[in-house]
Amino acid sequence: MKKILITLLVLGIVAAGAGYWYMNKPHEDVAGATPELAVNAQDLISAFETNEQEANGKYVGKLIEVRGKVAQIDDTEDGSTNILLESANPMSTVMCQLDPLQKQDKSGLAVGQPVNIKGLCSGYTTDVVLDRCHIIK
Amino acid sequence: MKKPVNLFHTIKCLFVVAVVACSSLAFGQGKYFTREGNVRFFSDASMEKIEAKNNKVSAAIDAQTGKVEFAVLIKSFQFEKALMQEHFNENYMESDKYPKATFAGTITNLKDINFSRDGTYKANVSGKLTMHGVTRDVNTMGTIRVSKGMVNVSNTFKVKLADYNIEIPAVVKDKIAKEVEVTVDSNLKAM
Repeated sequence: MKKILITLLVLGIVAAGAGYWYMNKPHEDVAGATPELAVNAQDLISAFETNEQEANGKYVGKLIEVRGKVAQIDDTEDGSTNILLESANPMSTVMCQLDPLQKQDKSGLAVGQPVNIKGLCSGYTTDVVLDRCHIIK
Repeated sequence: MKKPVNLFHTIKCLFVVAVVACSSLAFGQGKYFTREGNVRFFSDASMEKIEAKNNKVSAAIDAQTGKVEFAVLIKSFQFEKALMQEHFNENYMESDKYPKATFAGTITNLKDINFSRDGTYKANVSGKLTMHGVTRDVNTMGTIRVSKGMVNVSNTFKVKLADYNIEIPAVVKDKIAKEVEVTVDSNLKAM
């Protein structure tokens, strides 16, 4: 009888522990993950401009790598950094927000510099937006 | 004989054009835009308080026509808890299907707002909010603050989740409020 009770107790604690871990599980690891696909900034923007729904299916929710030239670096008032990659249309960029959860060194970045960035694509407004970005190499 | 008359006419036209151009600039009645606007929402339920922020909101205001447009990408909302963010995207907002929430409307009391004069103005905004595939009319009153060429738009309004077919399972009904509070606080710059 005692053995059964102890077994149940141990199982109970393990289940509670697993449950607690699940409830507080960490955010997706982007720094160590491999992008599903790679595309250059202009092609990415053109894809959304031409057929937004199709581009949504292809890119949104995925970890992608974008190659482009830095048009602008915005340090916003809430402490985040947005790297804008240029396209033929100055109003349309790929906006990459550096990952606030896994900090990185951005001191080497300059406007006009070509760069490879990976991030989670969340969609298209006036720009294509990438969250939780990391500069590659 | 004809030449002096034509020249005078040309100068007159140029003068008119110049005056019109200058007055447009002087009145500051242009377009304002940001791609880094802030929208956050707050759910206050009996068992849990949930907060999420989005600082990549695209917003535009046309001071001439009073048109206001906001576009909010659902996946760009940041939550403290990863599981909450996952549920929000996968179960409630279904962001794979509906990645964007948009608002398109007009400032109905445009004449009360002077975009070229620093100050705080009450703005009545009327338009359509589209979220989770549902479009509804929204009438709300916010604040427009003009300061040194920058326009800050702030507004707090309530959204009833059921109005947008957002279903909260019975299991978590005490963790998520039926009505969430949405706060817009965005700085727009002249384009």
